[in-house]
Amino acid sequence: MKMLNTKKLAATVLASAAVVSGTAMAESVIDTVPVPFSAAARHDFIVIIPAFLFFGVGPGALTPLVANGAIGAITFTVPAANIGDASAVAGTGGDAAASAANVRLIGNNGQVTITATNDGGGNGLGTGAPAEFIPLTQITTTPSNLALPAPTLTDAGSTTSMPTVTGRVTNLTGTWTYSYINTVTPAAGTYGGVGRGRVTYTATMP
Amino acid sequence: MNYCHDRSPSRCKRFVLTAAVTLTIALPGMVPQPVFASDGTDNAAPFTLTRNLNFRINYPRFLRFRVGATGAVINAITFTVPATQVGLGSSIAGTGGEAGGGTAATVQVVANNGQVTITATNNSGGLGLGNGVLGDPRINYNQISTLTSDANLPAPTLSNAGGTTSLPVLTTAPFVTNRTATWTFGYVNSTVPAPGTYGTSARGGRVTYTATMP
Repeated sequence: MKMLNTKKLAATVLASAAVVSGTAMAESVIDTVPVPFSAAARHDFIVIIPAFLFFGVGPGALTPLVANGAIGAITFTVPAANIGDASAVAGTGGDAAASAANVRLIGNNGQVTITATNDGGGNGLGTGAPAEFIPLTQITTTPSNLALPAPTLTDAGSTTSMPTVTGRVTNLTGTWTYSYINTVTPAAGTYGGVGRGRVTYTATMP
Repeated sequence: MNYCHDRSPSRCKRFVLTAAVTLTIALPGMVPQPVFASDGTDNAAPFTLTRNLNFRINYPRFLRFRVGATGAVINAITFTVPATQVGLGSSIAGTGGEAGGGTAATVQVVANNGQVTITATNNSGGLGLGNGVLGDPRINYNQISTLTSDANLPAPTLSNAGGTTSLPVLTTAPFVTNRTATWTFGYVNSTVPAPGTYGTSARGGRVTYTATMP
């Protein structure tokens, strides 16, 4: 009887040893073959990026990328002594410098085109009175970042600029500084505003 | 079968013990060192016999390593970036992973022959994750971060070149490591890539973690 029990013990030890040295599953691996030991497990990563276009001129932050309803306004006040003498007049009220607007452009699906239009009916900035206009060409725009140029303002509008794109990606910020070049002598009044030459910049991407 | 047919009772006992122990130590990976019970005779009352029997357990050297689910599964974690957050640096959690709500993997290292080294490589050819569109920049592997739940089981930092390593802390120096942790992955999201689906095993998105031990 003792002999039988001893045989059982030996068999049990053998079975246990077989479990210990068994091979485990893939990506959960075991190496029992020396030396050196090596076990590899794989893992996949996937990143999904949507196509998008974000554009901001004037008030607002770069982040988060959400629309805001703020519309910037820059006012050029020409001293009486300088009207029409071609001395450039800086503005006030800008969100970057007093006479400048922050511009933010991020897109990732090809060349972005910025188009400037206005609601001046092709006449430029008006006072509301007939025949009283200032050409939008009296306002110049100087970009701080040459990769993010501004369209030249005109009465007819639809002028464009082409920001620099890398591959399909555009990711640019800068400021556009405006100046009133003051080479005309208009009638006295306040020119511009809604329906009198508001400029709309539109960014498009394929 | 009667193994003791021609042996005295004491010799029979010794034979069986010897056979059992010899079978034990003859297992693969074990050092063959037979162990015998001692002999002795006591012919005077009171009779007392003491026998010493040494037990020895020979354990094989091994390395067990797991990243993600057990079984024949290669886990995949997908980071989907909302259009309003592309490139803003707000970390994006993943989905599809085996732990941590889908953005993590369970990692286990069990080994018994010295310092384990974990090395991360990938199949991107050093370029990072691609989207399959010719000319589109790839997403650098440094955009995928890894945070371990246990500093004793750190993760190698992912990089385009690969070959980065980490050293799990030995549980019992100088041989034994028995560590389990969760590695949580995040998309750093500090760049603006072209649209598309980057990575997968076909586009450089497969990372192979290799554990080695002396």
